[in-house]
Amino acid sequence: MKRGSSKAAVEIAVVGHTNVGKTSLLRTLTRQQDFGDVSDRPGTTRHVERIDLRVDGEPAVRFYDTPGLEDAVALQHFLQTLPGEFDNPIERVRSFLAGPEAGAAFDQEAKVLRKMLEVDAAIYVIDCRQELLPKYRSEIAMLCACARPLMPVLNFMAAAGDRVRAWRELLAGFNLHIVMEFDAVAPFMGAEGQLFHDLSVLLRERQDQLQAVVALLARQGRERRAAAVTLAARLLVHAAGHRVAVAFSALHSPEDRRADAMHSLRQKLGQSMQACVQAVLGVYGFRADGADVQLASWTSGRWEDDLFHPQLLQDAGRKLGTGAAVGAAIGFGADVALAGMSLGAATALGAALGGVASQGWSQIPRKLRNKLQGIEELTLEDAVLAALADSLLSLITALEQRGHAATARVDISAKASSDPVQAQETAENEEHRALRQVVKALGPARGLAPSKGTKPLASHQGARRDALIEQVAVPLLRALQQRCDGVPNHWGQA
Amino acid sequence: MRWQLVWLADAVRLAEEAGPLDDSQTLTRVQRLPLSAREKMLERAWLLGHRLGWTSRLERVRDGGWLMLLLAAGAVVALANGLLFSVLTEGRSINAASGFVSALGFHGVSLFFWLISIALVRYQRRPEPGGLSIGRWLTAAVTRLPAWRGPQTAALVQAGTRLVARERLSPWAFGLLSHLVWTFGFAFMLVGLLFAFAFREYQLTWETTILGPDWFAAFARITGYLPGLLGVPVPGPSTAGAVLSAGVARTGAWPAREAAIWLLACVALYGLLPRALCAAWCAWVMHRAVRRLDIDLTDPYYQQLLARMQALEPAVVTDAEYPWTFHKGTARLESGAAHAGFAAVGFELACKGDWLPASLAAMAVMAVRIAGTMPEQMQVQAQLASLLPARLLVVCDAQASPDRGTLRFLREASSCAAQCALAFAAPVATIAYEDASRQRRSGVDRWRDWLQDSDLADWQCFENANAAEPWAIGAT
Repeated sequence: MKRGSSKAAVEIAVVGHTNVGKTSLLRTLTRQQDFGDVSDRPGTTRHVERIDLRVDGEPAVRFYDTPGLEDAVALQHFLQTLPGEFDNPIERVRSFLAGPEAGAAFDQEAKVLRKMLEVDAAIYVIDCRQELLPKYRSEIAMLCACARPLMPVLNFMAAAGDRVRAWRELLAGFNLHIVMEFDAVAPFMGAEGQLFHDLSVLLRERQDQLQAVVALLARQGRERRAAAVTLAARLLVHAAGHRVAVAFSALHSPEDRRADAMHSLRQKLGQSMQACVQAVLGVYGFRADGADVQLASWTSGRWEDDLFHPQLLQDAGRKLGTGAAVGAAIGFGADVALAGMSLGAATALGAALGGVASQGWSQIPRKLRNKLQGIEELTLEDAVLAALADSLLSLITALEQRGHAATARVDISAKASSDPVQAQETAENEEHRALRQVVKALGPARGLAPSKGTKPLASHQGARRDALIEQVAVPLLRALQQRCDGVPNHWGQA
Repeated sequence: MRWQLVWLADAVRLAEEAGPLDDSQTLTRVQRLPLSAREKMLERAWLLGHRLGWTSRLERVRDGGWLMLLLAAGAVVALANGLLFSVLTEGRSINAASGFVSALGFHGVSLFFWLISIALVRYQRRPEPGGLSIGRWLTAAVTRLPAWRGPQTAALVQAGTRLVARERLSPWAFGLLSHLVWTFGFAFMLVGLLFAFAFREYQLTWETTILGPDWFAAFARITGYLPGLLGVPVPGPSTAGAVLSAGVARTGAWPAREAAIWLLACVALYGLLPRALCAAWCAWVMHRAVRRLDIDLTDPYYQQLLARMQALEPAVVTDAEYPWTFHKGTARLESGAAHAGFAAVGFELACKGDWLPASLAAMAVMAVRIAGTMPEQMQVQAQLASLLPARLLVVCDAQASPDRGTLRFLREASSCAAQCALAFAAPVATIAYEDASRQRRSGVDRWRDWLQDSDLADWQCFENANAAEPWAIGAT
């Protein structure tokens, strides 16, 4: 035991009944999808396993994953029948650990109690969907006998209903008043920070260390979010400037040649999109190929159809407040359109002037050259960009909320509002305004065609692009913050 | 050195833009080091760079440094010579004004251009990667050198030039070099002039076609102002012995000693001093930039690496599971020993609802529901031991997880009955399970698997108590 020395890591045991999600909680706290074995079968963890949470490379918190307490009723009875006089409950526990049954019938429980006596504090995980049975009372009584600060964590809050109050009352009866609600699968924003903060209340002498962990987690969270937003901004800037040159004659003659051009545009965008989604997953520490994050619609290419779905574009157009124009473009059957391709000459002129005003003059030589060579350029409509931004923000919001123990399918894909009436009512809400700001910030990017060989997600793409990406990231981050603040605790379990 | 690490890290990042390097072992190794996240990322880059042979390339940069120093020394000698002999041109006579201009003129112009370039770099947008740039030219040139040829070195060179471009260091680096050359050049020139003036007699003259002696007087007064502040006397051009042309003096001599000291002071103050100051300025800027040079951990590239590295945190088993064979094969009641009758026990059912259908309850010789305390369990076991029923049905909660406590109870119970079965109580409706029937289904399966794995595989398993009715009737 390294108690007293301020530099030693805070040692915390994670204890509880079998199959309540101890290992899941640790997966979420350490952001490790691969830690331990998690399964529906009881008693999956039968050994004590240690994992560290590091601050500046040094272990700051040392977690011990313990086997489940499976036969607390019998053990409590056995403890009570131990011969001899004991000054306090802890002596009774020590006597049991020294005896033969600690290695036989109660081997698993002995492992837990032995660890309990060594650590600074323990987290007691409770599946609060369960009835308050005597076996849980026995568990709590035995854990309290170890005389260590104990913090109950109510897991599976989402499905618990009224039982939570009963559990709280039971815990209060054992003098356990600081109770944390935590869903390992879908932790709410900052839940880990709250957990360590509560622990620091229990462990006053280790407060500095635990506060450092809280600060670290907060900083890491901010950095992750900023990185994800930067990736989204890079993709959006790339997509806004992305263009396919098509001969004017090809555009206006056979249908299939125009469709070919659009298809190639979509396909190229699809590859960048896939890379971006994988990078965002990587930032949040999720495996892109893992079966647990099923983003099939994003990584298989099916999202292409989703993203260019007329309903979705109409929806996005409405969010942008440009419903009519987008409707016309869809009516023409071209969901990728350059103004002038589908609209009348007067509108085209207006759009061209507007384009120059918002996208800068540097593109004019190229446009003139294209005009002389009879080339039209296809670029993405604002509605597509809005849909893209919307989907990326949904993805990031989902990943922010997702615990590393989650195994439930999360379906994040480009979706149109399913209920148009309801959508109309909320048409002017904050989310749409934020989205419009993102698209507005993307204006200058339209004039900035990606140069050949530049990777859309590369870190440094030249000063102008970098500056633009930073500018786009600002409204994106604001939009993301809005969404994350508005999301309820239990998001995205399908 | 730090800047080398940052350079390597940038090069590795650049190389990985084309596709990831195989770093799983490196990352595992780095993860174990007691370093901060930043240091770990730099260490990873260093290890990968070492594997790619970049570290040895970096050492060659130092060799390049020696070559540069040699070239610089040559430049200093040439410059000092050039400056000295531009002043000491014809025999023992020095044209003071023209000497001043030839010593300081080129220096002034080049210094002016350097200052302009600094201002431009400060206020100009950074160059686009697609555009023409000295960095790209340099990259192309360096990668053609035999020592730098190779598929991977391009990334290293490119990273270097990008780093310099990003920090806008090129005018400062080139400035530092050229200012040092000029500083030493002027220093050697001053030594040469001093030597010449000390041991040889020179005449400092002036001559003109269109200007007058007044102009030279003003020239000496203006240029001599700063030296004058340091106590150097300002020489006045004398017309004594001057050749008059159309009543105006066109040539003349300066008071030799004063003029020589004035010339030395001017070279020191207008040549040596500004160059030395500029060199110090460049060195200061470079030093600050190099110290500031770092990797940006908030970049998505590093955030992905950090997430991967965090997932590598090893889990250590501190108290291992050891194979402990608990007694398999529970004592079973011989079929002849059992009495007739059907008994039902509700185990760990605290719910208030009906746990046993009325029809079953009616025919049971014993129907008890317990929450699971030890006295309850012992009482039930005692009752069962006295009754010895032919068939025993234990009803559990499907949503609860089976555990060793239940196993112990079932084992003991099975020694008091001829045939045993497990059934599950209906879920209480008030529980807000997301999908109660699906949950229950998986719960029943879980119990079934658990029974099969335990030594109670001969127990029957019914989804609910109703389903157990035909089986229970067989007891009576």
